[in-house]
Amino acid sequence: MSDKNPSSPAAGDRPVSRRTLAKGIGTTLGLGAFAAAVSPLMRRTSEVSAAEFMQQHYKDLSEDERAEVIRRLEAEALEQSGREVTIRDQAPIPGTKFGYAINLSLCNGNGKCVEACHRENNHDRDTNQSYIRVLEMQRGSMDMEKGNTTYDHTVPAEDKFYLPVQCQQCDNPPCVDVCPVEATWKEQDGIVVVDYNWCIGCRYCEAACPYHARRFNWKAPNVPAEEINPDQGYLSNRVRPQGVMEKCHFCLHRTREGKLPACLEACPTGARIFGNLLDPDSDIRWVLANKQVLVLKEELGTVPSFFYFFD
Amino acid sequence: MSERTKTDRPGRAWPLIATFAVLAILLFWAVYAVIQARGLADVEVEDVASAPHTEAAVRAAGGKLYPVQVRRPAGPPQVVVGEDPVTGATRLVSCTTCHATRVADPEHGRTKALDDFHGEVVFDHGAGALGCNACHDPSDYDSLRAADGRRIAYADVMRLCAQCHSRQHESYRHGAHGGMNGHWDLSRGPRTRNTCTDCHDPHAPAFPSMKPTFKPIDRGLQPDGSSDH
Repeated sequence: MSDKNPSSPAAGDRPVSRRTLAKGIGTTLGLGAFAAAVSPLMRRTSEVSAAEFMQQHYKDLSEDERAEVIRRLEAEALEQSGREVTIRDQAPIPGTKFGYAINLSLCNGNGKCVEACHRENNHDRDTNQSYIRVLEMQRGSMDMEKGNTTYDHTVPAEDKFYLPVQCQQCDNPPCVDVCPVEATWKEQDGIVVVDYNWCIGCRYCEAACPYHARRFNWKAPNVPAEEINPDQGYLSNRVRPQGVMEKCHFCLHRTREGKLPACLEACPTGARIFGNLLDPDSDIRWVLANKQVLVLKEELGTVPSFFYFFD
Repeated sequence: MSERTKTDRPGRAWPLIATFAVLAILLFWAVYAVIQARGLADVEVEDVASAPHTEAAVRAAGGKLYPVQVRRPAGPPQVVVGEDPVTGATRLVSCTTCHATRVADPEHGRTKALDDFHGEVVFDHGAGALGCNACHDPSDYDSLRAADGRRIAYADVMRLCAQCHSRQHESYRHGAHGGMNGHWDLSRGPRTRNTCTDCHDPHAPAFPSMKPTFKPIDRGLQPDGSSDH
């Protein structure tokens, strides 16, 4: 009888009371859960070098600092993938504003542009990521929200047309307006770029873009070393880190050297026209002057540098 | 009486035939003159490299400009006539090998109607209005022939296509038709452009159907409507 009395001297002989045990288990589980919850943070912090953590905004970097940053990124790329890459930082060509047009009468939705973008820009192989989506559209409608990207039948299908959509490089870009840290901005040549080292991954810009043109790196892109395109740009196709936004940059590592974008070169129907909007004799200006061009969601006032036409 | 009329008829018909002949010659000359005047016979396919849109680029580059090279067919096509019995190599002969002795029958304007050779060629061009000799030169099958009878080398096939497809050719000259590679800025590098037959089969020029082979995997947009949530 006295044995069962909790206040009896015999109780003091027990190493731990039930209450203490419960507290101990609770504390251990709680600490374990907390450690598990914050572990990605610890892991990420260990990956971020002090130099990367202290890196300033792209626009605030001096030329020497930029060169230093690029040297570091190249070294990190070599360390992570075993592949030697060249990261450059091409400035906009003075007197150039890029424009793009697509002839929707020629485009047949084969998607070669989507694949070319995927390879050129070191996109994640697991998700077949790309800056371009081709929408299968009902003839007679220009409502891109009703387009379908998952068609996999022989193209072109009866009564359909195909609308490739990528960043429209707006003159009035809503994505730039909403960025809380100014990690994305519009350059002199009209290209809207992202500083992947400044982006905090809040995805406001993805929500703001009416063209669904921005992509989020849910994980670090998986690109086999032998498939990495080593010709890279700081603001364009260098392999992005996890947790940042990215978008079509008109292949600026190519176009700022006078080359055509990868998606244009890959198009088997010749539907894509690219050039300098400020050159009155350019191909793109001839298209604007001689074809009935339209822009997507004109009513939003985004003023795209991307045009579409039928002929 | 009846005998006299029989003998008289040929005599009376001669002036009539002569008049018709003169009229026909006059008509032919008139049509030819009109064609010449309108420049229809002068379908000029300018060298795209000298197209006007490059002039500003020439100025910007201080006169130096990389070329726009338009791809060209290597030359007249050759016909497979079987394998060499010894080496097993494919034997090719040029068109004139056979056509030097075999006279083409203009009645057979369709490949399907031909007994041997070319019967396998699928011909679907011009909605039934065209035959072989609309483009091929019956006097020299190693070259092509414009509508006005002038010879066009196979390498200049774009000149031939442009006489009917002038709208496409106009777009082509301004970079708005046909695929290309290289540089948008000719002051920094050259450009290579396709010719008509790189993309279009001249005998069946409609662009072929294709199968999309590459699809991004977007969350929640799988074809069966499934997603990982």
